[in-house]
Amino acid sequence: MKQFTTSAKNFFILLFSYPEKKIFVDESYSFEKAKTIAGLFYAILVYYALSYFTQWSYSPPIPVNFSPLWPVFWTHYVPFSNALNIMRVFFLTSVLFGAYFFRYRVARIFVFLAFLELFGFINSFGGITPNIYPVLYATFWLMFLPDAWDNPVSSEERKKFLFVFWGTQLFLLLTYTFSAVGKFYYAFVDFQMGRETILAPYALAYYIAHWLPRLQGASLLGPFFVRHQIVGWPFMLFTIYLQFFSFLIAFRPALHRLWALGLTLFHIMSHLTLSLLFPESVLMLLVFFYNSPFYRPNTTLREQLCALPLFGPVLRPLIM
Amino acid sequence: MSYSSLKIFTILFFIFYFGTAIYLEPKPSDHVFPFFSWFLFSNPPTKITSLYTLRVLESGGEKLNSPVLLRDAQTFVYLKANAPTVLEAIIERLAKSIISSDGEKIAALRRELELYFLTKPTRYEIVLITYDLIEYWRESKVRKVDVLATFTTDNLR
Repeated sequence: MKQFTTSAKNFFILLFSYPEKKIFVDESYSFEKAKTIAGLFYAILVYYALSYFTQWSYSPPIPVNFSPLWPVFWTHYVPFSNALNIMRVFFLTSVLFGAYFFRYRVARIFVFLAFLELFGFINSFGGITPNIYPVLYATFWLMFLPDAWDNPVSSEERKKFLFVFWGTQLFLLLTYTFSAVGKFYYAFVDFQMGRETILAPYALAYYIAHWLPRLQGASLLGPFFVRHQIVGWPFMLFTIYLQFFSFLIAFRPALHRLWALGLTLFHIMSHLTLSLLFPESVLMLLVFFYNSPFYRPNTTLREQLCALPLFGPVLRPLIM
Repeated sequence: MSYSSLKIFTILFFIFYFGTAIYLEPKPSDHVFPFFSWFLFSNPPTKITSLYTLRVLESGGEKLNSPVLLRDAQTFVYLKANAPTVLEAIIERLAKSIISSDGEKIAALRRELELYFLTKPTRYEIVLITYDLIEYWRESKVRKVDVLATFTTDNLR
């Protein structure tokens, strides 16, 4: 029993120190890059805010089913059009403030609050719009960045900075993993009840045939996948593979870029088949993973293939 | 906050966030913003399925040769960007209000539907259709139509 306790303790110590031992290997390089990306993130949010402005100018939300969520409780007390304008002004000034003063935590807190307000408002019309949440998650985690922008910075501060950045990456990836966990869970439930499951060859075709006509939707590849149901199967299985192992990728920096590309292609396919686009998720992949501070530029394709979950161990003897 | 405290906070927050999201998952009506389980597109629809929808009988003063279901009614129902899910929610709530004979709710939902989506004078039905997904996709064929109510917009009367 004592041996088991010691082994368990050692395991947790190893897990607890994993980021600095295995991910923040080139600490100075990663730190400088993470600082640049954090600044870039806040600059991009201004563009994001402006694109929202354009939408709002021409197509204000329809005030039906409006039932304010907790972050926008105050809209109960002002006319709808005034609430809209207050939100717009607060949103734009906060993201501008954040882009200019992103080094200061107070500015990052304002950006988080602005997104909390905006997304709370958007979700106050009876439905859930989760596709916009990843931006909110990122603004939340980046609030915790330590004040370590100007040299000299102690190693402890650098590690804290990198851990917050890596925590943001992990959180974003976990959303994909949970999506796959949900698919496995319901596949098990559906199988038990003798219903069609997500793992069936025709699942994608059923989704397309169910989803698009209901909403008067159309997509480029939807009709093809409904006609040739079996062709969609590998795409569905590959998507579940990508989603399920996403959390693991946070611990394998060699795969940060490749995996982000895979997930981007998944989002593009969702649009081409189901006419569903998650631009915010793609934006987060672009910002946090395509130029990940933990990815070493000299990583070879062979190393990336060997690091692949499930397939890596099979490929290793063949390509090494 | 020290480095170790930051790690512990992160782990606890992850457990709290995803734990709460999964706890709330079976009850979408209890959704607490911004918690979300990310269980998206988890169970596929059954091949034979049912849906509350709308069927247009008359539009702009012109009686149609045969009733047109919402999916084919682009000319008669104004569907602005990002609004399809709003429209679908209104139709479903209206159908349920008709079933429970809630006159006040029916009037309120009709007002929303007609004000924002039926811009032309229209006579329409709220129906429950039962259909085979693939047949409906290919040729708008439905196996069964249950008419719940027929309405006329004020500007047609």
